[in-house]
Amino acid sequence: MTNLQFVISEEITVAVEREMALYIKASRAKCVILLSKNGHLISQSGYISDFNLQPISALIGGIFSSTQALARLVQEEKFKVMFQEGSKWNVYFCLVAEHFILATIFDKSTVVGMIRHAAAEAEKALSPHLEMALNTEGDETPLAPLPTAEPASAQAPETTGMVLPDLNKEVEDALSKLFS
Amino acid sequence: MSLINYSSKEITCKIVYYGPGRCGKTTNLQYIYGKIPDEKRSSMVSLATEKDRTLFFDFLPLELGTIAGYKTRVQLYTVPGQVFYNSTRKLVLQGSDGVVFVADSQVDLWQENQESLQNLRDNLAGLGMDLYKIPLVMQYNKRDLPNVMSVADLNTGLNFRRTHHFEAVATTGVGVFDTLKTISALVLQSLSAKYKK
Repeated sequence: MTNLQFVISEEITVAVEREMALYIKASRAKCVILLSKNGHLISQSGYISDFNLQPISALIGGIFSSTQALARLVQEEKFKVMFQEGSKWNVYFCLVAEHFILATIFDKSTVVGMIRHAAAEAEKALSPHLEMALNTEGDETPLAPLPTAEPASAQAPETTGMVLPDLNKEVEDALSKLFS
Repeated sequence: MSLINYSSKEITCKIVYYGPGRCGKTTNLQYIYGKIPDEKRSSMVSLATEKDRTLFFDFLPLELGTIAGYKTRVQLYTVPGQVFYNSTRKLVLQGSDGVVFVADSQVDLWQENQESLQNLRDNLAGLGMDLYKIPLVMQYNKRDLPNVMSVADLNTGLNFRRTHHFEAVATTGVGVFDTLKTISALVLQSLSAKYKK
Protein backbone atom coordinates (compact mmCIF):
# COMPACT_ATOMS: atom_id res chain seq x y z
CA MET A 1 0.00 0.00 0.00
CA THR A 2 1.33 3.44 -0.85
CA ASN A 3 0.80 6.48 1.30
CA LEU A 4 -1.91 8.41 -0.49
CA GLN A 5 -2.25 12.15 -0.45
CA PHE A 6 -5.00 14.27 -1.87
CA VAL A 7 -4.26 17.34 -3.90
CA ILE A 8 -7.32 19.37 -4.79
CA SER A 9 -6.90 21.77 -7.68
CA GLU A 10 -9.14 24.67 -8.63
CA GLU A 11 -10.56 22.59 -11.47
CA ILE A 12 -11.46 19.72 -9.14
CA THR A 13 -13.01 22.09 -6.60
CA VAL A 14 -15.27 23.66 -9.21
CA ALA A 15 -16.35 20.28 -10.58
CA VAL A 16 -16.99 18.79 -7.12
CA GLU A 17 -19.00 21.79 -5.97
CA ARG A 18 -21.08 21.66 -9.14
CA GLU A 19 -21.86 17.96 -8.71
CA MET A 20 -22.68 18.37 -5.03
CA ALA A 21 -25.08 21.21 -5.80
CA LEU A 22 -26.83 19.00 -8.34
CA TYR A 23 -26.95 16.14 -5.86
CA ILE A 24 -28.46 18.17 -3.05
CA LYS A 25 -31.13 19.47 -5.42
CA ALA A 26 -31.95 16.00 -6.73
CA SER A 27 -31.99 14.33 -3.30
CA ARG A 28 -33.69 17.16 -1.38
CA ALA A 29 -31.26 16.56 1.46
CA LYS A 30 -30.42 19.29 3.98
CA CYS A 31 -26.68 18.95 3.95
CA VAL A 32 -24.06 16.99 2.03
CA ILE A 33 -20.41 16.66 2.95
CA LEU A 34 -17.57 15.07 1.07
CA LEU A 35 -14.59 13.81 3.00
CA SER A 36 -11.63 11.51 2.63
CA LYS A 37 -11.93 8.08 4.27
CA ASN A 38 -9.41 9.44 6.69
CA GLY A 39 -11.88 12.02 7.99
CA HIS A 40 -10.55 15.13 6.23
CA LEU A 41 -13.39 17.41 5.16
CA ILE A 42 -13.15 18.32 1.47
CA SER A 43 -16.38 20.03 0.53
CA GLN A 44 -19.81 20.78 1.92
CA SER A 45 -23.12 21.96 0.55
CA GLY A 46 -26.53 22.85 1.97
CA TYR A 47 -27.59 24.00 5.44
CA ILE A 48 -24.37 23.50 7.29
CA SER A 49 -24.57 26.14 9.99
CA ASP A 50 -26.27 23.78 12.46
CA PHE A 51 -23.41 21.29 12.35
CA ASN A 52 -19.79 21.31 13.44
CA LEU A 53 -18.39 19.62 10.37
CA GLN A 54 -14.81 18.88 11.40
CA PRO A 55 -15.61 16.52 14.28
CA ILE A 56 -18.49 15.11 12.24
CA SER A 57 -16.03 14.29 9.44
CA ALA A 58 -13.55 12.70 11.84
CA LEU A 59 -16.29 10.54 13.35
CA ILE A 60 -17.64 9.50 9.95
CA GLY A 61 -14.09 8.53 8.96
CA GLY A 62 -13.85 6.45 12.12
CA ILE A 63 -17.23 4.82 11.64
CA PHE A 64 -16.40 3.96 8.05
CA SER A 65 -12.98 2.54 8.94
CA SER A 66 -14.42 0.30 11.61
CA THR A 67 -17.20 -0.78 9.26
CA GLN A 68 -14.66 -1.81 6.63
CA ALA A 69 -12.83 -3.84 9.26
CA LEU A 70 -16.15 -5.47 10.14
CA ALA A 71 -16.75 -6.23 6.45
CA ARG A 72 -13.49 -8.13 6.23
CA LEU A 73 -14.39 -10.15 9.32
CA VAL A 74 -17.56 -11.38 7.62
CA GLN A 75 -15.65 -12.10 4.40
CA GLU A 76 -16.94 -9.08 2.53
CA GLU A 77 -14.47 -6.97 0.59
CA LYS A 78 -16.16 -3.77 1.76
CA PHE A 79 -19.46 -2.19 2.75
CA LYS A 80 -20.21 0.61 0.35
CA VAL A 81 -23.15 2.31 2.06
CA MET A 82 -24.44 2.91 5.57
CA PHE A 83 -27.60 4.48 6.91
CA GLN A 84 -28.29 5.89 10.38
CA GLU A 85 -31.86 6.78 11.33
CA GLY A 86 -32.67 9.32 14.04
CA SER A 87 -35.86 10.99 15.28
CA LYS A 88 -35.15 14.23 13.41
CA TRP A 89 -32.06 13.71 11.29
CA ASN A 90 -30.88 10.75 9.25
CA VAL A 91 -27.45 10.21 7.77
CA TYR A 92 -26.63 8.24 4.65
CA PHE A 93 -23.00 7.47 3.78
CA CYS A 94 -21.58 6.05 0.60
CA LEU A 95 -18.12 5.33 -0.65
CA VAL A 96 -16.94 7.28 -3.71
CA ALA A 97 -13.89 6.50 -5.85
CA GLU A 98 -12.63 4.09 -3.16
CA HIS A 99 -11.01 6.79 -1.01
CA PHE A 100 -13.80 9.27 -0.32
CA ILE A 101 -17.11 9.30 1.53
CA LEU A 102 -20.22 11.22 0.57
CA ALA A 103 -22.29 11.81 3.70
CA THR A 104 -25.84 13.09 3.38
CA ILE A 105 -27.82 14.54 6.27
CA PHE A 106 -31.55 14.67 5.65
CA ASP A 107 -34.86 14.99 7.45
CA LYS A 108 -38.42 13.91 6.77
CA SER A 109 -38.77 16.13 3.70
CA THR A 110 -37.26 13.36 1.62
CA VAL A 111 -36.96 9.58 1.83
CA VAL A 112 -34.02 7.23 1.96
CA GLY A 113 -34.89 5.67 -1.40
CA MET A 114 -34.56 9.01 -3.13
CA ILE A 115 -31.29 9.70 -1.32
CA ARG A 116 -29.97 6.31 -2.30
CA HIS A 117 -30.85 6.78 -5.97
CA ALA A 118 -29.45 10.32 -6.17
CA ALA A 119 -26.31 9.32 -4.26
CA ALA A 120 -25.59 6.55 -6.74
CA GLU A 121 -25.79 9.10 -9.56
CA ALA A 122 -23.63 11.56 -7.63
CA GLU A 123 -21.07 8.85 -6.98
CA LYS A 124 -20.73 8.22 -10.72
CA ALA A 125 -20.44 11.94 -11.44
CA LEU A 126 -17.93 12.69 -8.68
CA SER A 127 -15.63 9.70 -9.17
CA PRO A 128 -13.61 10.86 -12.20
CA HIS A 129 -12.92 14.25 -10.60
CA LEU A 130 -11.87 12.75 -7.27
CA GLU A 131 -9.60 10.21 -8.90
CA MET A 132 -7.66 13.16 -10.27
CA ALA A 133 -7.04 14.32 -6.70
CA LEU A 134 -5.21 11.16 -5.72
CA ASN A 135 -1.51 11.59 -5.48
CA THR A 136 0.58 8.63 -4.42
CA GLU A 137 3.87 9.18 -2.70
CA GLY A 138 6.65 9.30 -5.25
CA ASP A 139 4.37 10.55 -7.98
CA GLU A 140 6.56 12.80 -10.05
CA THR A 141 3.79 14.91 -11.49
CA PRO A 142 4.94 18.49 -10.98
CA LEU A 143 2.71 20.42 -8.63
CA ALA A 144 2.74 24.02 -7.60
CA PRO A 145 5.32 24.16 -4.82
CA LEU A 146 4.51 24.67 -1.20
CA PRO A 147 6.77 27.47 -0.15
CA THR A 148 9.92 27.30 1.97
CA ALA A 149 11.58 24.62 4.09
CA GLU A 150 14.18 22.01 3.41
CA PRO A 151 13.39 18.32 3.98
CA ALA A 152 13.47 17.33 7.62
CA SER A 153 16.63 15.51 8.50
CA ALA A 154 16.12 11.84 9.32
CA GLN A 155 18.88 12.11 11.88
CA ALA A 156 17.96 15.00 14.11
CA PRO A 157 20.35 16.32 16.72
CA GLU A 158 20.26 14.66 20.10
CA THR A 159 19.56 17.72 22.17
CA THR A 160 16.10 18.63 23.42
CA GLY A 161 14.34 21.60 21.84
CA MET A 162 16.67 22.02 18.88
CA VAL A 163 15.95 24.64 16.28
CA LEU A 164 14.27 23.48 13.11
CA PRO A 165 14.83 25.46 9.97
CA ASP A 166 12.20 27.63 8.30
CA LEU A 167 8.75 26.38 9.30
CA ASN A 168 9.56 26.03 12.98
CA LYS A 169 9.30 29.76 13.51
CA GLU A 170 6.09 30.01 11.48
CA VAL A 171 4.50 27.15 13.41
CA GLU A 172 5.58 28.71 16.69
CA ASP A 173 4.06 32.05 15.68
CA ALA A 174 0.84 30.36 14.56
CA LEU A 175 0.53 28.45 17.83
CA SER A 176 1.27 31.56 19.88
CA LYS A 177 -1.45 33.40 18.00
CA LEU A 178 -3.93 30.52 18.41
CA PHE A 179 -3.40 30.19 22.15
CA SER A 180 -3.18 33.89 22.97
CA MET B 1 -2.82 11.18 4.18
CA SER B 2 -2.70 14.91 4.03
CA LEU B 3 -5.10 17.01 2.04
CA ILE B 4 -3.81 19.94 0.06
CA ASN B 5 -6.32 22.25 -1.53
CA TYR B 6 -4.61 24.57 -3.97
CA SER B 7 -7.90 26.22 -4.77
CA SER B 8 -8.60 27.45 -1.25
CA LYS B 9 -4.90 27.35 -0.23
CA GLU B 10 -5.56 24.97 2.63
CA ILE B 11 -3.53 22.12 4.08
CA THR B 12 -4.99 19.55 6.44
CA CYS B 13 -2.76 16.99 8.10
CA LYS B 14 -3.15 14.28 10.70
CA ILE B 15 -0.94 13.75 13.73
CA VAL B 16 -1.39 10.69 15.93
CA TYR B 17 -0.36 10.43 19.58
CA TYR B 18 0.72 6.84 20.19
CA GLY B 19 1.97 5.03 23.28
CA PRO B 20 1.12 2.50 25.98
CA GLY B 21 -2.05 2.64 28.08
CA ARG B 22 -2.23 5.48 30.60
CA CYS B 23 0.94 7.16 29.33
CA GLY B 24 -0.80 10.53 28.90
CA LYS B 25 -1.86 10.74 25.27
CA THR B 26 -5.37 11.98 26.04
CA THR B 27 -3.97 14.31 28.72
CA ASN B 28 -1.79 15.97 26.07
CA LEU B 29 -4.86 16.72 23.96
CA GLN B 30 -6.91 17.81 26.95
CA TYR B 31 -4.21 20.23 28.00
CA ILE B 32 -4.00 21.71 24.49
CA TYR B 33 -7.79 21.94 24.29
CA GLY B 34 -7.96 23.66 27.66
CA LYS B 35 -5.55 26.35 26.51
CA ILE B 36 -7.47 27.32 23.38
CA PRO B 37 -9.30 30.62 24.01
CA ASP B 38 -13.10 30.23 24.01
CA GLU B 39 -13.62 32.26 20.85
CA LYS B 40 -11.27 30.00 18.89
CA ARG B 41 -12.35 26.74 20.45
CA SER B 42 -13.90 24.06 18.28
CA SER B 43 -14.78 20.79 19.94
CA MET B 44 -12.75 17.87 21.17
CA VAL B 45 -14.26 14.46 20.56
CA SER B 46 -13.45 11.64 22.96
CA LEU B 47 -14.74 8.15 22.43
CA ALA B 48 -14.04 6.65 25.82
CA THR B 49 -15.15 3.70 27.93
CA GLU B 50 -17.24 4.19 31.06
CA LYS B 51 -14.00 4.33 33.00
CA ASP B 52 -12.64 7.13 30.81
CA ARG B 53 -10.14 4.97 28.98
CA THR B 54 -9.91 5.75 25.26
CA LEU B 55 -12.07 3.29 23.35
CA PHE B 56 -11.64 4.45 19.76
CA PHE B 57 -9.86 7.79 19.59
CA ASP B 58 -9.72 11.36 20.83
CA PHE B 59 -9.89 14.02 18.16
CA LEU B 60 -8.89 17.66 18.38
CA PRO B 61 -8.83 19.91 15.31
CA LEU B 62 -6.52 22.92 15.44
CA GLU B 63 -6.65 25.82 13.02
CA LEU B 64 -3.09 27.05 13.02
CA GLY B 65 -3.80 29.99 10.76
CA THR B 66 -1.72 30.85 7.71
CA ILE B 67 1.66 29.19 7.43
CA ALA B 68 3.80 29.76 4.37
CA GLY B 69 0.76 31.15 2.57
CA TYR B 70 -1.51 28.19 3.32
CA LYS B 71 -4.37 28.05 5.80
CA THR B 72 -3.13 25.18 7.93
CA ARG B 73 -5.29 22.77 9.84
CA VAL B 74 -3.77 20.11 12.08
CA GLN B 75 -5.93 17.27 13.33
CA LEU B 76 -4.69 15.58 16.49
CA TYR B 77 -5.75 12.01 17.25
CA THR B 78 -4.90 9.61 20.04
CA VAL B 79 -5.07 5.84 19.85
CA PRO B 80 -6.38 3.59 22.62
CA GLY B 81 -3.31 2.39 24.50
CA GLN B 82 -4.67 -0.83 25.93
CA VAL B 83 -3.06 -3.87 24.30
CA PHE B 84 -6.29 -5.55 23.19
CA TYR B 85 -7.42 -2.57 21.09
CA ASN B 86 -4.81 -3.13 18.40
CA SER B 87 -7.25 -3.31 15.49
CA THR B 88 -8.61 0.08 16.53
CA ARG B 89 -5.12 1.54 16.85
CA LYS B 90 -4.39 0.46 13.32
CA LEU B 91 -7.52 2.16 12.01
CA VAL B 92 -6.64 5.44 13.68
CA LEU B 93 -3.05 5.25 12.47
CA GLN B 94 -4.20 4.92 8.90
CA GLY B 95 -3.34 8.02 6.89
CA SER B 96 -1.29 9.69 9.59
CA ASP B 97 1.25 12.29 8.51
CA GLY B 98 3.21 12.30 11.75
CA VAL B 99 3.41 10.49 15.06
CA VAL B 100 4.13 11.56 18.62
CA PHE B 101 5.25 8.59 20.67
CA VAL B 102 4.36 9.26 24.30
CA ALA B 103 6.42 7.10 26.63
CA ASP B 104 5.75 6.69 30.34
CA SER B 105 9.03 7.53 32.06
CA GLN B 106 8.44 5.29 35.09
CA VAL B 107 10.94 2.45 35.47
CA ASP B 108 8.16 -0.10 35.99
CA LEU B 109 6.63 0.72 32.62
CA TRP B 110 9.74 0.21 30.56
CA GLN B 111 8.49 -3.00 28.97
CA GLU B 112 5.12 -1.46 28.05
CA ASN B 113 6.94 1.37 26.28
CA GLN B 114 9.06 -1.04 24.29
CA GLU B 115 6.08 -3.19 23.35
CA SER B 116 4.08 -0.17 22.27
CA LEU B 117 6.92 1.13 20.10
CA GLN B 118 7.27 -2.28 18.48
CA ASN B 119 3.51 -2.32 17.97
CA LEU B 120 3.72 1.11 16.31
CA ARG B 121 6.41 -0.15 13.97
CA ASP B 122 4.38 -3.26 13.08
CA ASN B 123 1.15 -1.35 12.54
CA LEU B 124 2.84 1.24 10.34
CA ALA B 125 4.46 -1.53 8.32
CA GLY B 126 1.04 -3.15 7.90
CA LEU B 127 -0.17 0.12 6.41
CA GLY B 128 2.78 0.40 4.05
CA MET B 129 4.48 3.07 6.15
CA ASP B 130 7.89 3.14 7.73
CA LEU B 131 8.71 4.19 11.29
CA TYR B 132 12.14 5.24 10.05
CA LYS B 133 10.64 7.70 7.57
CA ILE B 134 7.47 9.15 9.08
CA PRO B 135 7.85 12.45 10.97
CA LEU B 136 8.25 11.37 14.59
CA VAL B 137 8.72 13.06 17.96
CA MET B 138 9.36 11.25 21.22
CA GLN B 139 7.80 12.59 24.41
CA TYR B 140 8.97 11.27 27.78
CA ASN B 141 6.00 11.96 30.01
CA LYS B 142 5.43 11.91 33.79
CA ARG B 143 8.84 13.39 34.60
CA ASP B 144 7.38 14.68 37.88
CA LEU B 145 6.92 11.18 39.30
CA PRO B 146 9.48 9.41 41.46
CA ASN B 147 11.33 6.41 40.10
CA VAL B 148 11.60 7.56 36.52
CA MET B 149 14.25 6.48 34.04
CA SER B 150 16.90 8.93 32.94
CA VAL B 151 16.40 10.65 29.62
CA ALA B 152 19.65 9.13 28.42
CA ASP B 153 18.34 5.62 29.12
CA LEU B 154 15.00 6.36 27.47
CA ASN B 155 16.81 7.68 24.42
CA THR B 156 19.04 4.65 24.25
CA GLY B 157 16.17 2.21 24.55
CA LEU B 158 13.44 3.92 22.55
CA ASN B 159 14.81 6.70 20.41
CA PHE B 160 16.68 4.59 17.90
CA ARG B 161 16.10 7.21 15.20
CA ARG B 162 17.64 9.86 17.43
CA THR B 163 14.73 12.08 16.58
CA HIS B 164 13.50 15.08 18.55
CA HIS B 165 12.59 14.27 22.13
CA PHE B 166 10.99 16.22 24.95
CA GLU B 167 10.55 15.70 28.65
CA ALA B 168 6.97 16.31 29.69
CA VAL B 169 4.48 16.52 32.50
CA ALA B 170 1.29 16.55 30.45
CA THR B 171 -0.97 17.24 33.43
CA THR B 172 0.70 20.63 33.94
CA GLY B 173 1.59 21.26 30.31
CA VAL B 174 5.35 20.90 30.59
CA GLY B 175 6.68 19.84 27.19
CA VAL B 176 3.21 19.62 25.61
CA PHE B 177 3.55 22.61 23.31
CA ASP B 178 7.20 21.91 22.49
CA THR B 179 6.09 18.50 21.29
CA LEU B 180 3.16 19.89 19.30
CA LYS B 181 5.23 22.64 17.74
CA THR B 182 7.98 20.27 16.66
CA ILE B 183 5.77 17.54 15.19
CA SER B 184 3.71 20.17 13.34
CA ALA B 185 6.84 21.68 11.84
CA LEU B 186 8.23 18.27 10.88
CA VAL B 187 4.98 17.28 9.17
CA LEU B 188 4.76 20.53 7.24
CA GLN B 189 8.41 20.32 6.23
CA SER B 190 7.89 16.78 5.04
CA LEU B 191 4.93 17.89 2.91
CA SER B 192 6.84 20.88 1.64
CA ALA B 193 9.74 18.66 0.57
CA LYS B 194 7.40 16.30 -1.26
CA TYR B 195 5.71 19.00 -3.25
CA LYS B 196 8.65 21.22 -3.98
CA LYS B 197 9.46 21.38 -7.68
